[in-house]
Amino acid sequence: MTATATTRARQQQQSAEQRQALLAQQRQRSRARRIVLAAIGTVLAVVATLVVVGATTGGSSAPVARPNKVPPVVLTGLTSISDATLASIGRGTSVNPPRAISGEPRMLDGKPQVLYLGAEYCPFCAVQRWPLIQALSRFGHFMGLQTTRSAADDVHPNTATFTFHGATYMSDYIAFTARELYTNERVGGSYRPLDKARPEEAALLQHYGGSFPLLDLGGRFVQVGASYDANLLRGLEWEQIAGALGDSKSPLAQSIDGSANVLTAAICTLTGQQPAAVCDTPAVRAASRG
Amino acid sequence: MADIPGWAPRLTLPLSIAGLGLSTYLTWEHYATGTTLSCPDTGVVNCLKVTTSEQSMVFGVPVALLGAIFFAVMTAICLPQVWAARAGWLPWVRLGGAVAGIGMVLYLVAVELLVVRAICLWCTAVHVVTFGLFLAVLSAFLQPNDRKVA
Repeated sequence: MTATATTRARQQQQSAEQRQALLAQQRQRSRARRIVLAAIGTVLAVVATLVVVGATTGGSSAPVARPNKVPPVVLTGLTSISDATLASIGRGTSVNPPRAISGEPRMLDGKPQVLYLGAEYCPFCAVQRWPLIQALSRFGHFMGLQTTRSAADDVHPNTATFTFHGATYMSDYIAFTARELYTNERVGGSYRPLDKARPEEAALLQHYGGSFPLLDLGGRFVQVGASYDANLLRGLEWEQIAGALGDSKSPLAQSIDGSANVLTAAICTLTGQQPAAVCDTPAVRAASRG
Repeated sequence: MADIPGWAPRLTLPLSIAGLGLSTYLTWEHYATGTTLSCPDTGVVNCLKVTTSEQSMVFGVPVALLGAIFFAVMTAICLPQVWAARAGWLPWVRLGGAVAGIGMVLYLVAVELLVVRAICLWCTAVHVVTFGLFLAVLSAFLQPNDRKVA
């Protein structure tokens, strides 16, 4: 009887110790859970506070460049470069060429369509309009182009460029559609909307990552981003940029003329190498060779 | 072998490797400022504006590079063998690293929202990974012994 009582007492003691240990572990676990939850709550509260403060204080209103008529000297400098200069440049220092894609050819009014999706605030659109206008001007001509600048509060701020908004383009060989989806005027956290993309154009933009500029050449080539270093345009005005394009040794000519040659070569594949005066030239042949 | 929560290396190592990959990419993007954007640029969401801002450098070193170094260290100390090591200071180093990481994240979020006024999606991915790593390391640090495995 005594032994049984001792055993029972020992068991009860062990049981009590186990309960104590279990309780201690539960307390420890509960404490750990409270600390982790407190950490989550603290981090989320800080982030939420930052979001609210950021949204309510707003940014400084940077000066906005308004569209202006393009000075004739700029348009001439951009589009009237000698064949010899273009031929000596070839691809120049251009990078990020249009890449071939498979799919339905993009046509408009019976002509291959060049589709540009960009925005006036976008610095890389500002960069890419220079060679694009030069290339397209070899196949037709623009009316109503205006100058503008990329956003003052983005990277590569205030880059001198043009806007396709309100401009028309005429060509016997290609159709050009441009959408400047936003102005360079900041409204809250974004920019003021401008042109509206059609649903299929918006889908195309999303398909290629949603970045501006997006250039679709007849559904056969696509280019996202710029094809030369945006830093080259830093601090330069339109006249300075256009004035440098006739000098084949200038880094600007190597970049902009070279990019225009590459774009021209891609467009020539859409037009069946027409017109020959554009496509059958040493500059385009050099750019095609890659 | 020291007691460690069984899930700790399985959770923290992939998070650290993911953070290392993202930070390495952002370091590359920090220097590739010339021609392309790698994430949608819709005004508020603008990776390049963040990764090339003045605040993207600390004492001349890109923040993204510091992030890559941070995640390289975290990857090393979150290896299963290191989790299993007996050194008593290791959990503290791991926790210190995780706390420093989340502190840096909060600072960088403040910079994005209040100074640069743009959000970098890739940076946000790094921030989420860092937050997850912080919670995992903290939970492992506080884990009661009965839940630990040899």
